[in-house]
Amino acid sequence: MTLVSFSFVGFFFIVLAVYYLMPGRFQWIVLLLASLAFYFLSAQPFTFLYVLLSVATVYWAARRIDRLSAERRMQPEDKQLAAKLGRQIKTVYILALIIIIGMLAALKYSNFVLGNVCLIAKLFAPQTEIITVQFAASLGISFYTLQMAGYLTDVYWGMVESEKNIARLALFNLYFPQMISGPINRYKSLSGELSGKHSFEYGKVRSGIWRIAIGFFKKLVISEQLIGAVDAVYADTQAYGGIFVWIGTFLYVIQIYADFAGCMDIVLGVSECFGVELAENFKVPFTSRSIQEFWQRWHITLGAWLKDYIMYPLLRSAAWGRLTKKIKKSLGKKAARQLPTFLAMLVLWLAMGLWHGGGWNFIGEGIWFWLVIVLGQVLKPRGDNLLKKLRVREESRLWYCFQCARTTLIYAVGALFFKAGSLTGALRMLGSALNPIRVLESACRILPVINALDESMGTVKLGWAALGVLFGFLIMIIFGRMEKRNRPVREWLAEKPVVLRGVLTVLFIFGIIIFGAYGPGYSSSEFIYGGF
Amino acid sequence: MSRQEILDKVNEIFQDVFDDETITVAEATTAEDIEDWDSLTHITLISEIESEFGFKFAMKDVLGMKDVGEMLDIIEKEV
Repeated sequence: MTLVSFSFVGFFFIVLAVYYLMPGRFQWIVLLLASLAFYFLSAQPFTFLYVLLSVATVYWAARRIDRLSAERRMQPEDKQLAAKLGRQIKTVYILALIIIIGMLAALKYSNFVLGNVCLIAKLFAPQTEIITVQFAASLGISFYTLQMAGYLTDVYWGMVESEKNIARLALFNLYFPQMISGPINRYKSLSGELSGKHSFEYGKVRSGIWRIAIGFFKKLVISEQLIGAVDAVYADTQAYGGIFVWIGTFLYVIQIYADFAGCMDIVLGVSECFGVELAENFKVPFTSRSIQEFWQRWHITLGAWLKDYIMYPLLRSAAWGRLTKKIKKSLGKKAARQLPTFLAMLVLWLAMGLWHGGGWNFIGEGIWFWLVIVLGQVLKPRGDNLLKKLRVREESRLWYCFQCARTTLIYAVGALFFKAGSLTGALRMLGSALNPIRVLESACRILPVINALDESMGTVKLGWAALGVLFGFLIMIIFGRMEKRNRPVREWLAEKPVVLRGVLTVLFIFGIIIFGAYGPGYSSSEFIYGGF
Repeated sequence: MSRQEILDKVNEIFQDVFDDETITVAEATTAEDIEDWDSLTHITLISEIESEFGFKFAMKDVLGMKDVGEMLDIIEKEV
């Protein structure tokens, strides 16, 4: 069952009705049962074993860590005992992490590792064949593993108490709106929301349903309509080189944003209807002045997770401390502050790339963003000087627009690596897009390509399809501008007279029906981020 | 070491990390009051304080402290 399907809409309304008919203290059980039903309706049933193993491991480890920590607190004088308990706590923590992250690694990266090992073996024994294995991973494993590892680490750090009820922990892992595509939530903020009592609030449910409609709009009117054009360019990079790489890539940027942000609108909207507030994952990312700011506005919860649980602990580790001291001695204070941070950032970006999948193109994407951020920081003093000399006002509108365009271009190059499927493919496409002769030659072919595409289409002609997407895109920009001004469209709509509200809602739904890609028996493609 | 002495040393570390000698921190100073005090700079500050005073903050305290006053409480307890 995908989030954009008639069956999901039916499922959601049934769960919503049962949820509010139940006494408050049973509501979390309704959510747990609904989440289990959603899982079995959407994934291969045996993959649930992975989920069970993850929940059971983390439950046991967190409880054990809590008990050992309490024991340590009770006898603060006995240093020997404290050290012994400290070692035990660390062992339990690391063991549980190995189990849950090992599961993720085995299911997700086996083929990447095997493929590379075989390639190296091929150098010495040319007859070696590339071995691949087929594993069915559990639904949303990349998301829930991070969520569970985060919870366990919070217990280890003493930030939260361990959950006593394994069923409640299972709900934190399985909560159906967010399980497939995030956002990656923190136990501290979500557990209370999930186990609390929620009475029916018309305003909240209405606002949630509007948000779901906005999500459907982004997915069906923009993302689904752009798939064809984007995939055509990326499937045949020989025919569509030069300028087509830029066109395809910028369309992909629009598509992936509409797809992922639309998916988040549905997820957060559904959850809002249950009265459960989830963390936001997007904050108008394309209005960012720098790529650093962009990543604080795009897939926010993943970036924050990687910073809090990988980068900062690394920076505080003994090994990093030693490295900092060495650099300070040989290169001075400034370098000692910058270099270890850049190195920790590299680990973060490699993890960010690899989280999306086992592939050198994902590693390439991570390194690209890391390089841009590091260069940006190193060159900042020179850049500031240059701006002063050129008398550019940092607050001017034109400079701001330039910065946003620059951010979008940097992201587009990263997205090219992401979409290309392989590192060599990405580099080939990039080479073709940066080759002026290839760009000029392909630019001359734009009209014939458009004509051929128009003829190959059925009853709906290219012009109409493009108009539909353009219409959707403009509306998405208007929504973005309203959000940027802290006045989301739903809040604006809620203040309007009931008749106007009704008319606009009906018009919006008709817009989705007219311009969206759907139909009887139509099942939208999976969300891009549903595949992780 | 008195609380005021600790505060003076912490102030020096702040000036050094933010590369700004005009900074003066007080007990009630929070990340809101200093423009560049983001989560990464916070980690740098913590590392500098740790090497200056010779102890390690618990991660719970690193992520949980709300203002300079709370930072001083922990340092005072440790040294």
